[in-house]
Amino acid sequence: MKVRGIAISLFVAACFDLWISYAFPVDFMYQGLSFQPHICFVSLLILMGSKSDTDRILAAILCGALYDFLFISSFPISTLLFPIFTWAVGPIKQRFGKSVEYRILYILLAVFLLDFIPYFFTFIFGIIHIHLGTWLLHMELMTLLFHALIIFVLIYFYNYLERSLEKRSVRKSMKQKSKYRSVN
Amino acid sequence: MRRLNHLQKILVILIVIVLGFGCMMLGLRQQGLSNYGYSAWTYIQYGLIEYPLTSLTNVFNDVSNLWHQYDDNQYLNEELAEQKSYKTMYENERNENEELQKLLDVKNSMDDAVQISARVVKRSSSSWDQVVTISAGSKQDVEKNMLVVTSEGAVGLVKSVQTNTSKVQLLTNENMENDIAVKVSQEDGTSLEGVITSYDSNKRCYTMSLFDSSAILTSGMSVATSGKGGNYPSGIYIGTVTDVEQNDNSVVSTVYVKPVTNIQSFNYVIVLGKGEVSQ
Repeated sequence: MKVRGIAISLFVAACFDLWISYAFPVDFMYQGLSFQPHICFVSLLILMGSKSDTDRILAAILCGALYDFLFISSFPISTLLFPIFTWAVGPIKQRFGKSVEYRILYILLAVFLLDFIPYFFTFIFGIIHIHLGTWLLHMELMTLLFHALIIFVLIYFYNYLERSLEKRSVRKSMKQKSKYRSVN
Repeated sequence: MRRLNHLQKILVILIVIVLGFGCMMLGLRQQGLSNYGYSAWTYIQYGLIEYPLTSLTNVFNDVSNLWHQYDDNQYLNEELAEQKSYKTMYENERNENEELQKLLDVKNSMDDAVQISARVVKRSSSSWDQVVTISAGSKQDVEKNMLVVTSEGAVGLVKSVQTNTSKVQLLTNENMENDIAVKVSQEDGTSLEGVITSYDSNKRCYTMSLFDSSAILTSGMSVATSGKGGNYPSGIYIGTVTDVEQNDNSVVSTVYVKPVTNIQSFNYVIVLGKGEVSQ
């Protein structure tokens, strides 16, 4: 997919994150079950998985910074964590090949760590006092279930999008070729 | 170090711009005097991102509220319908209460007469002006030709008696079997005697024949039972004189008497037997 397409997809995914957060706000009293959407993060991992290391890291830094400043106001969490997990896609791919199952498992693990690392640091520094079990049950369980479904949907959707864009570009190039032939 | 390609250079520049601008905005936010950056930043964030998404959320909330409004509306409509029926029931009870209260006053004013309280159990629409069935019979000492009165006055005579019910022939029956002996009290203390013979359905009045054709009667005079003949006391209000017809050669004049106001709809009655009524 082209850069413009990736940028638009990430922006739309971030908007979906914000909209879902408004529609289903997180219960910070930890009384009921809630979840935090990370559709933008998952999209970043899927879309940038096939790019080079430098491209991945730079794109992730930019995406994380924009996400922090424009959407969730949590600078510098996304700015730091997005590039780390996006860079790790490369070694994972080298180790496990192009297997879809390992890709999905890695993305799910990344989503978990994206929530766990801030929780861990805020717990260590005494900012929050929620027990790990409570946090896992009331916050993370639904988040992981939600993203387990979203990952499948997004992988399918982006594959379909890439194939259709590729078909369109092939058709376009064939048209151009036939045009040149007719000119000659 | 490998040189960056065109796309990577652009990304680096964008990162520097975004981070620089963002940190500057964060820094400015800390100072109370410099609100420009903060205001512009917040405005951009609000206008481009938050407001459209909030509007969309509000649309969904409004739609879901509409469903709740619909359910509330259904519930309130049912409550309103129930209230209307409660209102009707209340008015019905109130009317019955008023009728019984008046009937009680009538009963208390007639200590010497035989009084049997009853209610109307049947009044057929095909014989609405002719016959009613009441809930008192021979068991309650009802006898034939006793007078039946409502809170307004007399309405009929007992025609036939069963054990627990009786048939009452209304005074508005065109084929009255028995005449009713009545009197019209005058201002000088005397009274004019006569009989109610029939009911004129065209004029919707009883027809009364006076024994004294030279008597002067005017509209508005009250007609009551005289107690002469029949198994009922005297002084029971029958109706009001509305018109007087004078035959040239006949001895008896014809007087039209308007029945009591509630003869078309009454639920409770008193059956009166012989006895004197206090004036």
